[in-house]
Amino acid sequence: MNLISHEFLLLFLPFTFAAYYWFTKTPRQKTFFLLVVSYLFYSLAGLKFVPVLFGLSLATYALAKWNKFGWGVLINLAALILFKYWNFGVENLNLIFSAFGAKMNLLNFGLPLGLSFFIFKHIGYLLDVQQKRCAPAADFWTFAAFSAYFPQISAGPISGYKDTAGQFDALPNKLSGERLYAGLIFLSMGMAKKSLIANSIGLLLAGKFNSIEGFSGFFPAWYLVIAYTAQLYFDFSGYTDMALGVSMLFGVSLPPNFNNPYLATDPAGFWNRWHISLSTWFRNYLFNPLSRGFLKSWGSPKREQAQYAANLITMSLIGLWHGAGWGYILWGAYHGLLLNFHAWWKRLNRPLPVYIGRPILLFSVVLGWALFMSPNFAYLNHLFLQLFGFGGLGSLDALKALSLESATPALIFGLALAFSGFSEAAALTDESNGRRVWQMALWGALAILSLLFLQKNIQFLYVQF
Amino acid sequence: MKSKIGFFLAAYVSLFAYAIYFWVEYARKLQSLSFNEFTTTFQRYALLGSLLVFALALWEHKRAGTPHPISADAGSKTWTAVVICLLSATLALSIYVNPHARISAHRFPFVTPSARSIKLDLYQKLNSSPDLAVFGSSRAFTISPAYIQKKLGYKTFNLSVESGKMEDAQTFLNLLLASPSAPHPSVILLELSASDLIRTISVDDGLLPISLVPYMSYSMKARTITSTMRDFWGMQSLSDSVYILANSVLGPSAPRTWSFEQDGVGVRAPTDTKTYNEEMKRVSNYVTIELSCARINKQSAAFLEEIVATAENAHIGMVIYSSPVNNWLYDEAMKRDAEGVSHCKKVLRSYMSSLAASHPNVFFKNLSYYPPVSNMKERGFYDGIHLKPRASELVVDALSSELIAAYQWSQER
Repeated sequence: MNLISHEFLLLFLPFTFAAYYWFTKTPRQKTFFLLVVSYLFYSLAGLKFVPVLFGLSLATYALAKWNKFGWGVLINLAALILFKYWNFGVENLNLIFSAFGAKMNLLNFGLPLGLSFFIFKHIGYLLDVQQKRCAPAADFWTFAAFSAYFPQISAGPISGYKDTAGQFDALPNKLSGERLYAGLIFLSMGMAKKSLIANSIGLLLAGKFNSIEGFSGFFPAWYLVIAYTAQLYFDFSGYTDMALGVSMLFGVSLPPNFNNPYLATDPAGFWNRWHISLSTWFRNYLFNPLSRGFLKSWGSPKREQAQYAANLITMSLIGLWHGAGWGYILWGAYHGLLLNFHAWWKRLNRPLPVYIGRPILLFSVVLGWALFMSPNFAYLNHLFLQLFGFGGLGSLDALKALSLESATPALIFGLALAFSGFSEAAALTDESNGRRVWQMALWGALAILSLLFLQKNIQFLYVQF
Repeated sequence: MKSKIGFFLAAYVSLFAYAIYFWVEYARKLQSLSFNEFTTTFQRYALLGSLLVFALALWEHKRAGTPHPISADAGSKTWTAVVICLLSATLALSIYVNPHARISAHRFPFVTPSARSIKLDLYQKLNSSPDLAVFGSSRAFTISPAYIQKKLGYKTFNLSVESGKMEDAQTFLNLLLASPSAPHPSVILLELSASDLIRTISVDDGLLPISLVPYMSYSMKARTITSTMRDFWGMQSLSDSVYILANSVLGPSAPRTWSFEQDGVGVRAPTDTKTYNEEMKRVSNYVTIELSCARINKQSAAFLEEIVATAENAHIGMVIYSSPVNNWLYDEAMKRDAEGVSHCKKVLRSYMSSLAASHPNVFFKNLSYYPPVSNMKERGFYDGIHLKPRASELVVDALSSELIAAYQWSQER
């Protein structure tokens, strides 16, 4: 099931919400209820992978209990490799084996929904317990509810056990007016970003336009990558706002994932604002130990090299986390290089003014998305040739046809919003200006308009990662 | 505050500028709003309006100071009230106009195929159960119950539907058997093409009327409910409803290709040679798919066998036939893939023979290339596959002995 679907918004959410406050009274009952509806939500996406989720949750819980943290991490990573990266590895090995006439078979399991997200929650939990940053889960059911918690199972945000499951012990019997109010704004804002902006652009990008034969010339190519940039951001931040809003309705706060990323002025700032929960996870559990390790073995004089190496490895793995493909790894490594270049520049102590830093960053990030969005080398080659003007400027007819697409007004509006400073729902819950009736009436109307535009259902892009 | 004003200025100016641009470049140039052009125009302006609401909602948050602040509770209640009102209004419009024939209301013409809904209504109005029911796709629309009654004496009802799939056959069989105590037809005449056995058995979700839910399988029920929900609260339904209402006020809309008489037979206005040629060109793209097949799909076969077994248990004879295709279409397929066509014939014959061998209620005749009909070309076809009434009569003639045998088998039980 998809968070932005009629089934979820008109059936699953209202019924579970009503039942949650109607039938459950104590935090314990509420946690158990969340566990049941989370597994129901997961099974509606397909029963096939329910045992995978349950099995990994049980193994993680048990191994943490028995202080076998290494085994816990290993089992989770093994599942991640098996389901997500095995075929990628085999395909690459087969390129070598083919020279010797040998061939390994591919596996045909499919990818469990939200695998990368819940496995990262498990690994984070194991490492936190090992390093005594949090106490082990008191019982399996609480841990299982944390692991499968339905608002975040499909695409995060990746939260820590202490932060999320910690709230399960104090789930309110009655939802406060403030939280309900904030939850509804998050939900409406997320729906509008996904349905009105991301999907309107996505309909164009899902068609022939986004293919080697579909576009040629400088302007169409830049339209394409900018449109993808906007789609990805509004799609994922829309999903996150919805997940946060839905979770608030059940009395649980989840960490934010975005903070106006296109207002950043340098690569480090961008990664502090984009997919925050993932970059925080990698910083805590990979970058910090890695840079400490390099520093220890290489010594203080090589402090800079340690940072560069840790950046490059961490970012390449962030790329790989997104999917099993060289394009993702290249995109990650490219961001590693951007971070290293920025670290080097910073050491020169020659700060750039915002009006120079931001355009340079935006140009670099958009080029990065060109790498990210390319399904193969032929497409990537074509796209870059067009982006750098080797295919001419593009025909006027093609541009006019693009301008008449519904993606164009959505893109213009989206770009204005992305640079406005309040494109995240979190920015709207500051009520220093006071609440007005019209404010909530407009959000209610917007939620329904977004629902009406959901006909051609375009999945959240990050669900596939 | 500077950036906030910048955003609202950019948002309002760009939305209004785009609305004018779209009007000048697209909507203004339209001579008359055809269905597709109306949809594009309506939905584009609806999107612009929605984005404007988005900008206004943000503006309400950022506007400094307020004369009448409200509590969080009152805010949530306002949100809920607006949502319920708009959901109800949209639902009421979708139900009242019923543009996609989801329910059994016929106040206005439908914009999508609607035979399922119409025929269910007609069938439920019958005073007594027919002896024979015709199932299948639009290729069987013109199989005339009146002709069958005249020729064979069986009271007949035509339950064929557009884009008919095997799921339809199962649903309509359940409809026939809905009341175990009441008599039900003795024979089902099922039109089945090779593609039914090699491709999907599933009906397009957009064509499932909610009125048929009681007769559907569980998975079909779930699909119907979710697709109806998407439809009722969807922009397409809203835009189609407005189109229908506007047409009913401004003038009658263009007649639909098919209309149906009381006995379910389809009636279509005569086509001229130009339309016929255009239709032939359109179908030329799928000629090979239509007539060639590598193997029978196991899932489709299992589904058909389930239908056949249910009919057998209810003592209903089944005559399964492949409807003739226009000779032109057949020749095209032979030119493209003669081996495939002949292989498909063999596969179909072999499968249907084995089905008939294991189920005594099944009688099969492959008429996909039936010269007396196929050679009629424009005299017998509206296009490559849809038969004119005279051609359908010849099909009934060709199936007479099977229909009689099936009827006798049923009576002997």
